[in-house]
Amino acid sequence: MRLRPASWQWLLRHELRLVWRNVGGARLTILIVLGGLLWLALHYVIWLLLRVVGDPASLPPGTYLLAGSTLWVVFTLMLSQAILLSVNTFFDRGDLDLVLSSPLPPRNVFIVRGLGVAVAATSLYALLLTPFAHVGLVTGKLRLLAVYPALAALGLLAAAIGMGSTIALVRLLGARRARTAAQLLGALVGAAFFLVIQVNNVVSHERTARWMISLWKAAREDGPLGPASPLWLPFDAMLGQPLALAALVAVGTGSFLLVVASMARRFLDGTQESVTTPAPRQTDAAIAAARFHGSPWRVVLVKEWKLIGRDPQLIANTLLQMLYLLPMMFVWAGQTSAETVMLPALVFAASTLAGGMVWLTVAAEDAPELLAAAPVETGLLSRAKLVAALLPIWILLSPVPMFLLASRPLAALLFAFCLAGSTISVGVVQLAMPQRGSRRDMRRRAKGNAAGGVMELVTMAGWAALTWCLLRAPVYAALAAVPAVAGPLTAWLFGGARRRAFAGG
Amino acid sequence: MPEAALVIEGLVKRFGASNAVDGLALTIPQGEFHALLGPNGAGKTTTLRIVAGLLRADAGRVSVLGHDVTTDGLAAKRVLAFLPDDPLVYAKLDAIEYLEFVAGLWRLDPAVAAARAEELLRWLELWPQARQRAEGYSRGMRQKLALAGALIHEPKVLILDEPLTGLDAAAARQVKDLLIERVRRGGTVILTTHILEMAERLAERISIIQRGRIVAQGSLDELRAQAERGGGGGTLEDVFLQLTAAPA
Repeated sequence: MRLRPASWQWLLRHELRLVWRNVGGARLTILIVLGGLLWLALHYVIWLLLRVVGDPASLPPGTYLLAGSTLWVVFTLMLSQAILLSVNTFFDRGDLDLVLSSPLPPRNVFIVRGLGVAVAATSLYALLLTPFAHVGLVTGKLRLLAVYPALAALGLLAAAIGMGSTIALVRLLGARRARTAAQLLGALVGAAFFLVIQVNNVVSHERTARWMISLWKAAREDGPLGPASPLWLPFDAMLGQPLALAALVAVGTGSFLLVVASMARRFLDGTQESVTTPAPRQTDAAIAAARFHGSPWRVVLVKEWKLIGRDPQLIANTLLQMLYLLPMMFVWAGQTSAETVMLPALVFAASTLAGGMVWLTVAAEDAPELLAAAPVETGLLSRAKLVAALLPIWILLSPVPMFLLASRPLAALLFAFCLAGSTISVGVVQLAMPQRGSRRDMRRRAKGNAAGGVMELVTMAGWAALTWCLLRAPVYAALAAVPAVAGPLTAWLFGGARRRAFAGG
Repeated sequence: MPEAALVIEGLVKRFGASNAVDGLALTIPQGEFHALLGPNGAGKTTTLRIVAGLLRADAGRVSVLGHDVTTDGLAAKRVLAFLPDDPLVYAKLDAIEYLEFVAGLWRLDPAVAAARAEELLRWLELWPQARQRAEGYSRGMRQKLALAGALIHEPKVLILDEPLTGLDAAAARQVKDLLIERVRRGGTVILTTHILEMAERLAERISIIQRGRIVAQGSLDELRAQAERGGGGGTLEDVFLQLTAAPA
């Protein structure tokens, strides 16, 4: 279909094309095929499910608690996605200047970008939920067609909240800080779901059981979480209850339009202000006396740590990884025997982190030409960068061996050895098979460096296995040490060409 | 006779099947302001990157003030500064932190480096923003900061690839004055530029590169002669177009 240039439909198509291409390259075909097969299979599963459930209009009360809360989890994930997409669409893509300098009404731009966010945030869940509508259509449960408008309304609501939060942060913190804060917010919203489902590991089984009984009681017909609870309005809407559906569509569409109408101009002003306002001038007194440090080793360490410390997204991601390990820690605290699982898992997590950090300091160096032109041995720079990347991880995990030292000194020593060994080995793989990248591509760092990625994985798995063997079955330790050592060694032996290319040969 | 600032002999650099630099030879004495001109893809940047130690040559020899860049690379780098056409500075570091880092790489005495950093930042009018991170700088400010980084260790040979890119008229004037001052104090400046007027006004000698070789070299008058214009009225632009239009 040929769309009129500069119309909102034309803009929306452009928006969706960018979102779609962001999924990327060869993966796209695989995703389409696998996604399509999964989607078809889901139709069959849902057909079976609806046969068991019967009439969706008269579900047992407990279903509302289960399905309704699942829907809220889905919405939370959509919201997390919407916040991250808002950041991408308004800050990262960098085409705002181009679009805003064109003779298009800014409000249209904002509406279309918002719709793009809504569609992208909803698409994965549409794959899971739309089969209900199709099966409903075939089996005569026509009210299930309401899944479509209800899902769209949830998508618009998520986009509205996502964009609203981003806009509020822009007004509050300025564009640059807002970008980081919004990314943090999105990640935290996503992590919240994970942490909630880990409650079971944190509190005792008896207490969890008591909570479950109370919840189940509350979900009875006349209970506060029963089918009549307003909390289940989105679920009611999906089931095709007219009032609930109308309310959800009104809330979703209304909040979306409200955000667009009231805040589009403010957002654009806020962004442009922060981009174009010159940096304030400082007085001499405000400029602290410079304290320079001498040696290349020291300046490299200081520089790398400053860059890491000033990257809130990196810190947030690192802390989130640690946050994910917390429930395991609680399990471990309750059961000493769990350390044979816990310690190898920590070694694996630490080496994953090390891979990312070494990649950041070595491959994602912002000014490689400056370093290459400096009269400093490459080896010295590499060693300094390795230490700069690994030391924070060692410090972060140092409480673990210290905690173990009193009760299990051997386990503490073994853990410290494997932690150091795994992180250094992964660092060596990175140095042996380097591939230039940019800091913002950290999550996709393995792209284009499959061999390095495989070597890294082999090394990490080898060290995790070695940790387990040393703790539980030392007789197999030599066997586990093979991949732990073979990873960096192979990378070094076969990475010569990569190293030469990296050094500018 | 003093050591030449830069000697290049039979330099070859291949990228795949094509020769980006093809037997290039060039000698630049100390204290000279030398401009390297050539059409896009002629091999200027590749040559300069080999001189700065960022690329390895496939054949030939390059020495900076007598230090061979292949066998004695660190010594050559100590007396050299290279400013690429799009220099990257660390967005999350402020100007002082950036200069501290660069000074550390060249192992400067911290007290000397701190004083030099202040002098350069004041001179380039970056001092009021010295404690702001470079992510808030304009392109011109980043370019000036990179230039300060290139100058902090007082290089004897300064190589600049398109140094005026992104600078406003006032900043461009500042940079030109600075380069002239460095040559006056005995330093050597080698630059590539597409602004022929700049080369015409500043450079004592000009080399024109085409297809990886020097096709003409000399003062503006000598180039005019080589271009068979006989010294009358032709601008560098005329000479450049005539010399680069001829088959190499």
